Amino acid sequence: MVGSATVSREFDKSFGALVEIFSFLDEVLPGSALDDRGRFVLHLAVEELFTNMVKYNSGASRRVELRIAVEKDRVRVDLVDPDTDPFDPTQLPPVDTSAPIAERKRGGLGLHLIRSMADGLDYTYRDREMTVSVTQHLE
Amino acid sequence: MLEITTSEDGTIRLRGRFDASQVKSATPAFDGVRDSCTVDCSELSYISSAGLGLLFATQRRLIDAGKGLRLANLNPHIREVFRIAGFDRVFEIT
Repeated sequence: MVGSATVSREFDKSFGALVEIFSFLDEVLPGSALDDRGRFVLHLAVEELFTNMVKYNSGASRRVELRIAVEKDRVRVDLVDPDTDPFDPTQLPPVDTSAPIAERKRGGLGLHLIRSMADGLDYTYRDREMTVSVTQHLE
Repeated sequence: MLEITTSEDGTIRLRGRFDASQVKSATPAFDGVRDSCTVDCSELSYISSAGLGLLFATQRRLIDAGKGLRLANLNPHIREVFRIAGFDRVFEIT
């Protein structure tokens, strides 16, 4: 797979698609060049971004496309929703993880984890199509 | 897939992956926790914010009653997730 190969697949916009999505990631992600942490981070990032699309994205599309590009020194996973309002996950305010338990607010934790653990998070929006991309370096 | 078992001493054992698709089926087990107990994570391979959310809700309810969950045997990646989430200050982690 190493060497600018891209594989894509579409999934129903539902929590039930997660099992298929994880299988797709395991099938396509490179075995030797991506360590256990990198694999964990990509599973986490894709789940958080996908479930946000399931919960919050508007529009008529009931499918989300995942594109996995394995390049020389990194893996990039794009999640593409072809019909939704804009929502930029890179611009959310930080989560206060030091707040006492009684004062902690719900929401934002998944994106906080991605921004802290993944090597890159990017967002593009054009003609109602949203693409959120997460990247992880290879060894 | 996530398996949840409870032993006679009250220890809850999690096995598998605690992702968003597992929260609905896992909720009754955690809603039923009424006392302090240990959650053994030695066979838990993965957790996302959805799983964290259910553990957090359980912990908040227990702390209000003067009790709490102790989390044991987290793998390094899950331990990192707890640290980044600030949950290492919310739970006793051994």
